[in-house]
Amino acid sequence: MDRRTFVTAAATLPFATALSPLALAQARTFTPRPGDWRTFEVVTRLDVANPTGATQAWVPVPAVDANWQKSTPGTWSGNMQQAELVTDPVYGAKMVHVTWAEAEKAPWIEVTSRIQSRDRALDWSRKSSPAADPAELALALKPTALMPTDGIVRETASKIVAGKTTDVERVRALYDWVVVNTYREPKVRGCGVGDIKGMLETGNMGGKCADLNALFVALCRSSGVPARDLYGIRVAKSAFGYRELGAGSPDITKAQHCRAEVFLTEYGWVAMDPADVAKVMRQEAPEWLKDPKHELVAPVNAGLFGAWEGNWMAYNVAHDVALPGSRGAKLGFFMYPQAESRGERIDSLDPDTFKYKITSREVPA
Amino acid sequence: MTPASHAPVCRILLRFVAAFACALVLDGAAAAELVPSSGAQAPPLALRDLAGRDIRLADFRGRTVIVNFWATWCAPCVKEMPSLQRLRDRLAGDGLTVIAVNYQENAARIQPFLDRMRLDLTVVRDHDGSVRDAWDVNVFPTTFVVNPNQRISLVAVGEIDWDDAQVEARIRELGGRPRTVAERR
Repeated sequence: MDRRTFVTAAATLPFATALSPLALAQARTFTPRPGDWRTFEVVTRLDVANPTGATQAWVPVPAVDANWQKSTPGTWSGNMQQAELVTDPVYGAKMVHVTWAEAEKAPWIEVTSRIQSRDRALDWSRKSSPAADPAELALALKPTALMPTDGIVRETASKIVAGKTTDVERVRALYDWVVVNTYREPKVRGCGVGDIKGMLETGNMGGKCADLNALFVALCRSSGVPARDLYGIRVAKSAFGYRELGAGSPDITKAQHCRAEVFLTEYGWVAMDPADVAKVMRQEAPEWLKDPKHELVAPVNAGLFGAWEGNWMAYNVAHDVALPGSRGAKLGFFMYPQAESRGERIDSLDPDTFKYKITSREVPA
Repeated sequence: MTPASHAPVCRILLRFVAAFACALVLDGAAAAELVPSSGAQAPPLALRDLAGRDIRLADFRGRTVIVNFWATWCAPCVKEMPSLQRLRDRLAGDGLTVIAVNYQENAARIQPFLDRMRLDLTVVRDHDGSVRDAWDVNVFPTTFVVNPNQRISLVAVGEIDWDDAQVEARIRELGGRPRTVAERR
């Protein structure tokens, strides 16, 4: 440390400790940049409590390979009768489908997955003509059971993008609209249901990532911009000091989070996460920050339009998932371990009575 | 009658978010009211109770059935359940059956709740949400009063005081046959 640096630090420290948290927030930045790959090992342990008969389960494993995540679905062990890696025929989501003998009183399985992950950021100054898979883009424009693209969704989107002439302008308008007009509702179970039509019809715009980012995606789709939700889980802390944008401990059982992508002709698939902006506004500070220009929010609001941190693992982009071997209803999305005993679905949002635990650790390079 | 044709009955319902219903109560808004329904045929309901027994709405033809959608995490649901049980106790001999449809929770969560609340209502598990979809329920609690002909006579979106004399009178009007021996068990 040279003399100049020392003097600066010495002069600053006593003063900094006296600053309020909000004043300290002024120093915050949020600038993910693609860099070194990090490796994470994620272990999902299921112990199906009180089975009432023949039991089966479906454990999501990472199925996304891109220039920001490389996935290895993994290995498993347990006292099952059978287990196999299954791929959803429509969206390519992967899961370990496991069945236990009816006589098994304490069914368990442990699935270990690995990913390599890194930050993702778009350089808006560098336009190109990235290749696009027509089938992939077509799927990213289709409605789903919970994400219709007609009716009130289309009407809402049309008003928001009126006068915008490019897809970038439309997406920017939709992103800003979601940030300003929705809010994080901590009381919602899990990551929310994703009933976006209900949100718009009732004007009840509170929710979590599966609500808010689904709304963003559906608005994009109904505006003609391919978009998709990515369902995953946070695996590490935020490198930028945002408590709410990372996993607080190696136990990530309740750290599920979904993000979004839009396809822009001149840039390809672009990272988006207005739901995390809303989360910072509602939960990062002791008080609810309702202004996206607030010093604590502004860096995240700007950053999550085109970038995100590599402290998260994407499972899949799937909707309306029919679980193989189940006669139960399709899942709106597949982000939580699922199980059935005697043909009845077990509440996946209640890991304590299900039971399941998910842990994450970074594997040294 | 298909669920789709039943849908207009409930299309006025609000979004499935417990927080909203909670807000109604916390904000001191008036409690919900039992309002007349169009008389649509009740959608199917066939689920298991916590003991694993099959419970079918169709088996109660001839009785008035209250179908109450609830969850343990829904504060207004929790608040109204004791009065719902008292209504069941008062009218069980006069043609009323109550089926409390829990939304997607585990028995390990529900049973301790019932024990703590000293409730012995017939609780079935809508384990995958398909019954909620069929009945087009978007707010908890939502309660349907199904007449002896299995048509929906009344509906309430939100918490009801089931001890209210007018509420009881409207349900008594619907009538119903006595319980069978099996139904008494």
